[in-house]
Amino acid sequence: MNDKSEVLKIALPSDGEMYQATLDFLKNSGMSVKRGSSRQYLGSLQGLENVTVLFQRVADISSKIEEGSADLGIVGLDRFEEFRIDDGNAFVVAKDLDYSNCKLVIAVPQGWIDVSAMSDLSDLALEFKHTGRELRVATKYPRLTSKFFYQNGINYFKTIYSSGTLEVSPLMGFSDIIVDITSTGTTLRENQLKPIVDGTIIESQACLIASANSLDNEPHKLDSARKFIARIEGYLEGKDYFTVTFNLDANNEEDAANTFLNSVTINGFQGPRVSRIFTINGNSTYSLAIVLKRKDLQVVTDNLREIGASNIIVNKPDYVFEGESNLFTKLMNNITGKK
Amino acid sequence: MESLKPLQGMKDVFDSRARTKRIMLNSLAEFLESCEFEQIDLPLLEETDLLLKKSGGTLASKMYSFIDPGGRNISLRPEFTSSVVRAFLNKDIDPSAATKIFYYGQIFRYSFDNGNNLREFTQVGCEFIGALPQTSDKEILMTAIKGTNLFLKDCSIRIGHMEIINQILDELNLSNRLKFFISEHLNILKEGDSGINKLKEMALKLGLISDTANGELSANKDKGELLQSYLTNMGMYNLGVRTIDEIQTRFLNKGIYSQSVDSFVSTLKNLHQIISFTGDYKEVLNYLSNNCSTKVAETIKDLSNLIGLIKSAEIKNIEIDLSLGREIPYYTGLVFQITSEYGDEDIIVSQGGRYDDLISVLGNNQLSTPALGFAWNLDALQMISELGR
Repeated sequence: MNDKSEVLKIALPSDGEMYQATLDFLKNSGMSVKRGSSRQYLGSLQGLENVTVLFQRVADISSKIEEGSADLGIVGLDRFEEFRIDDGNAFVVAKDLDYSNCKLVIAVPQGWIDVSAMSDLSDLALEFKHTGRELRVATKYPRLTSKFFYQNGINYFKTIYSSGTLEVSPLMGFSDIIVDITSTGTTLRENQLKPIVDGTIIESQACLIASANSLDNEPHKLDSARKFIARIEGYLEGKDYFTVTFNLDANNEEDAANTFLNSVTINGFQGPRVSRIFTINGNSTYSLAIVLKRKDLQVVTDNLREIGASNIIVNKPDYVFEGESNLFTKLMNNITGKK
Repeated sequence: MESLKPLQGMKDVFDSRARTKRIMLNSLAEFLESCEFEQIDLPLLEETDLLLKKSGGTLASKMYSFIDPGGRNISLRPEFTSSVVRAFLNKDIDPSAATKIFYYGQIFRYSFDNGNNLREFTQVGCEFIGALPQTSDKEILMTAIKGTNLFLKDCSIRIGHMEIINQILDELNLSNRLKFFISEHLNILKEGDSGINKLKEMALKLGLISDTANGELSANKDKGELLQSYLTNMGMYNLGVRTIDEIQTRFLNKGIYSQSVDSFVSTLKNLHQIISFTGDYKEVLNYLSNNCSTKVAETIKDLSNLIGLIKSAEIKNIEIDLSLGREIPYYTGLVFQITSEYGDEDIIVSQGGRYDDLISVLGNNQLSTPALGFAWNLDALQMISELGR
């Protein structure tokens, strides 16, 4: 097991909407996936050595990570939560890769005008029980469904596993209601179903998962994992940051910096970078630059106008790398914690 | 081999502890035999439907269910009573003759925690089928107390009665739905003010009560119009397995407010007072007979007589708790728990109750057969008795 050439195995979705979305995501993170042909199930990452990409069906990725036959994987949080083993080997490193967003919802026939909330469903389940029927729920997610129903005090129901054509099952009489993934709700509407108001079981997006056992004590794999994770993190962080540059009239660099620091409470990472502008008109003007989170941008630009800043320019960095990768630290903590 | 540890909530028991457990089990089995209970051995696995559809309730969320290699949905038993009744019906015993049965073995109850709670238990228990309460209630209570006393002194017994709350609800002049709603959620009501608030919110959401004086009027006007358009277009709508009639009835019932929020809350407050009035049985019985109707008072009198019959038993406290037994949906009359102190905690070492409808429900016949039973939790008994040594 301690072979030095041990390569990091990353499982990626080979089917469905997540296939292309994941390739795009990794490309944006600076790691294009090279795959010989669409029929080949192995690939590599451009710019990152010692890594093999395994293309796996979305439904299988969680179990590959759980059994340790892949070290890292990208999969929908919904699938991971459905297939995970409590206190098992697989764990989530980042649950918000910010693509493939969708919701797992409970939907009932549109004609059920008397049912709009979970409490109606709970009431209805009892009514069914008293008339000798069961509330049948068709779903690809029997575990998440049962857990959610129990948590909402619904104990009289039966899940019916169905891997396709879920939406038509109430119409065809196979089930009474369904629990399925939706992003826009169009498919539900087209099949005369409506979601329950407080019946969202999980809000899902692509997430990064890892296998504790297969990475433990594998320095070569961990080294590649650190690089892989740091690039993803750099891209994700970059999406959240802005670089703001602006000009301020001041006597010298200290004055410029103080004017800014004394009136603007948000100071970027450490404070502004100040550099002198050699102006044509001979004014004493300095250019300042800071890096900000998206949420602070409006407040800061307002503040800047108040202190007389001009030429405010906002840029988006492609990546923001911290000295240490927070996600990698989280990975290591989890591996240690599982022992 | 990844891990040599047992599964979460399961335990390996070694040496003297295993021996003690076996000896305790034998003592209880012999004791029950001396009380003329006949032994029955039952399968660990049953069809999920038997356990779920007929008994169900909150136990459903705790079952270990899976598909066997033949494709059948089966479960590890989470309790014995359903199996006993199934076996009783299967054996074709004359239901009019009283039958006394005892059993022992493991039961399994999953819990959604991190394995802090045990998920496997050993029970020894018995059922008394076909005898009227007058003869069987006392006998079962005495059996439970005497058996517990083989290992533990200073136990307390907590007694409840499903009928008392049901009768009180009947007399409150509530709609059937509201009555049903309250009785299903007594555990929430028990939380006190926060529980009352929670129930109020739920009932509002369900349309069981109204928060405005003219709620009924405006709501029904809206509903009338909605229903009109619904009926016109119903050909377009998918109804699944429900009929138009069902949907319409439930929809309109949502608008029939049998109570305003204020009167609902005061009903809940009164009920809360009744169910939370736990403690010494004399005080509770006194309180109840002063605060309830004559019909309820009769049931209370029965309960009072029953308690009189067990006063001679070696028991520290006799308490009454009317909220007992709500997690088991098939209980109908007497319910009880025997508890023992373990540090600061009261641990339940034995519990049971009457289930007069279960046999007719499982047997699909109209004939109601009186029955009751209880089981000891052997693990709890052993844990506490070992502490005393």
